[in-house]
Amino acid sequence: MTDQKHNPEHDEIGGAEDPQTAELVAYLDGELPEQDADRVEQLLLTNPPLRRNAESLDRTWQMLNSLEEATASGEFTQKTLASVSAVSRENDADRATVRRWSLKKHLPWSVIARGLVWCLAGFIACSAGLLLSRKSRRERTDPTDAQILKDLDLYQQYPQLWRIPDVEFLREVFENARTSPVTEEMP
Amino acid sequence: MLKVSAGDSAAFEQLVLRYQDRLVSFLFHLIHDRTACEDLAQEAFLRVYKSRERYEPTARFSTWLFRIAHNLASNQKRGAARRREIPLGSHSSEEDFHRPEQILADKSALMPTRQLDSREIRDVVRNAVEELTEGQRTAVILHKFEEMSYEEIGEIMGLGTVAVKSLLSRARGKLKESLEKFL
Repeated sequence: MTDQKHNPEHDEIGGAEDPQTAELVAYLDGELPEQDADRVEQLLLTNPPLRRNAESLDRTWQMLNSLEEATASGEFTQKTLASVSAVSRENDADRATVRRWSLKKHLPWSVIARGLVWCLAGFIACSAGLLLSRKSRRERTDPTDAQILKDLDLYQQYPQLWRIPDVEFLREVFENARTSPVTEEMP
Repeated sequence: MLKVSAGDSAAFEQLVLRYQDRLVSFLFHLIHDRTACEDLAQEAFLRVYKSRERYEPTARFSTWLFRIAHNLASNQKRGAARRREIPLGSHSSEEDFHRPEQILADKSALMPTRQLDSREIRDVVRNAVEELTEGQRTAVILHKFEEMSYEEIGEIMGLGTVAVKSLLSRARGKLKESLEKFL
């Protein structure tokens, strides 16, 4: 017994075994074929020690009826069903995610092409809008500034013009030049 | 179970109601902890549910369910043994836990003529069952309380019929040895 306790694997299945006890136990368990069962019954009738052994095996087996039994608690069913439905919900969510991803993976080419065309059209429209707005902004520029820009080359060629106080003075000079002819000085 | 496979949740509830007591009882005989055995039984049902689409009615449903429960209980015992750094199969922790009962049984053994009350008998029997190896104990419980055949026990434990016969023969021999003085 002590050996069995320290080395439980030893006699679990293999090792030495009493074939008579094995047959007797199989007979008591109703696991022997009919012919073998008849033979064991004959032996039991004629062999008192074997009969005593069988009785003892049977009675000790019946003692197991005294073991405490357990049944599921009142909440067991509800708890189990709740955990199962939680798992079920998780699975549904996972499946939905997988379905979404697989949809993205398997988008038809026609949809992708249509998307690209829309992107291109959007780009062209944006560019055109930008150009038009720049042009109109240019047209809306102050005429005085436009004139200065126009005369920029002249200012650069004749730096003394920068000393002219303001545009009004230039206008005055221009008007005077128109009304009175310029006399060319002789060298 | 076929209805469960088809996604019938009411059928699954029926399945739980039909087998929960048997499963909890089986696990309780193996691990003697009500909370733990209910957790394991719940886990077994959960596994059944998760693999319901793979279920093929080649074996009896009860055999499949008990095989799952048996594997869970074995894994739990193995895990607990590893955590405590106790070699698998050693029952020393259980013996420590049941020491008062063991002492009682030893005392009773010294007084064979004394009439034991039902509680004492239960403790003595429980100790005798604890003395069995894990495989022997599982086979005994399945045969005695679930009235399963050697073939069904073999399917649950992953053994052949001859091996089950051998397991039960040894187990009953040991039980007789431990208990016949109390007859």
